[in-house]
Amino acid sequence: MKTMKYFIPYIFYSACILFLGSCNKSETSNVTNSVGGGKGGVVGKGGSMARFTIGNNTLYTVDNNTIKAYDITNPANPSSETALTLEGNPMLETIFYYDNKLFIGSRNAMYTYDVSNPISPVHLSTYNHVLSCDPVVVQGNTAYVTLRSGNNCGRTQSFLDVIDISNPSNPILVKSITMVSPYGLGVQGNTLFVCEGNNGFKVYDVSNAQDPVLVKTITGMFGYDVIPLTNLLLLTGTNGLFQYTYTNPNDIQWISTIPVQ
Amino acid sequence: MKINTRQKIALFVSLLLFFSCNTQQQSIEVDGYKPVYISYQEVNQPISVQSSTGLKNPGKIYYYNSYILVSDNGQGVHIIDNANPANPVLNTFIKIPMNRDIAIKNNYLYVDSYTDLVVIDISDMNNIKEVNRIKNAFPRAATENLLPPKDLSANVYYECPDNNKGVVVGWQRTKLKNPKCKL
Repeated sequence: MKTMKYFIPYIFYSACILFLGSCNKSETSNVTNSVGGGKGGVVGKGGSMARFTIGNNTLYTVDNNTIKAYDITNPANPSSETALTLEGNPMLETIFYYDNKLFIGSRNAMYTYDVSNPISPVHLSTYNHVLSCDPVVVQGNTAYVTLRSGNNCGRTQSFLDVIDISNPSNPILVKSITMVSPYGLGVQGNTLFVCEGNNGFKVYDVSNAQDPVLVKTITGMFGYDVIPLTNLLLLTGTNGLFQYTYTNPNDIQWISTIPVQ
Repeated sequence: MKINTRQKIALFVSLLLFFSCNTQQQSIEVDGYKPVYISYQEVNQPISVQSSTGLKNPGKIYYYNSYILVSDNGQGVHIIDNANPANPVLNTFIKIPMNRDIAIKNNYLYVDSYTDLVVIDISDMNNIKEVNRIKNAFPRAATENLLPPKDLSANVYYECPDNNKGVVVGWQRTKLKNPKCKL
């Protein structure tokens, strides 16, 4: 036993060397993520995680650092492709069309483009934020952006950012709400839904658009993305497709699930 | 400083342990991810329509005229008749290799399939057909899934993708022996 007393520090020391010096061959690189939305008579509505969206007679797509616009006046033959390539490899992940504007989520910023001339997007602003994964949705003069942390997202805390876009050339952060692991989000009327991954989803009252108030957290599924329609919420996640009816943020009722097989 | 015999022995043992790691292959088994491949031939197939056999890995969603479309990550798109939201009916599955995104206007469905933009006529749900394809619209897809799912805790191990096996369509959680890649 007396001998062991001498050995212990050395064994500990050598174990440390082994741990530090050995077998550490790791590789890291970057991944892309994705979002989108559309509105209007015969156009459908997408979730916030989309990389495709339709506005007017134009299909917009994002792909790493490129925004493309296809004229679909003749829907079977997308044409007049315009490709805008952004500098600095911004990793564009999501696209949302609202009121003749495109709101594009990327790894480090929210880009706003004017598409009054649908096939020729004009840059209005770049709202920079800390590295993260970040879909964006817009209603009225307010943009809601989730900023998710994680290995490939580049930050340690997650937030729901509320941004005043009254002047789309000069977006201003008005509120930042701490989240757990936010994914897609959607806003309809006075209700904002924010997916929280393994933690389900959260329902906010946005009667005051720039001051969301948490009303309810619904758990029991992985919340990935949502589409809020009038009185109907669609939600997907790794567990399936969930539907809820709602008339206001305080009154949300589950109605059906298509579970994964 | 005088080193006694016991300390010499201890030092010798620690050096032995240190060198043993470098000379002998350690075999460790950990939880991690392995790539799911589809062949280069399969990835360039045209779309095909079949009956849905259920949601497997639901991703992005799209709502159109009382239908819900759900992209099943990398496999294709389910079409759900949602005329009665309390009883949605899973009907059709459009097999679209490496699909992620969906948008619809005027009964034309726009999807990505690997690096292509594909236009699909859905005006007759019983006769869904591919009508156009713009090749290489999304070069990003060729390098997209080279890492396992994000937002996991530190030290996610994975089997390094092998280009010779095809295109990585997704990742499967499994036990890995001596994984060489780590997030």
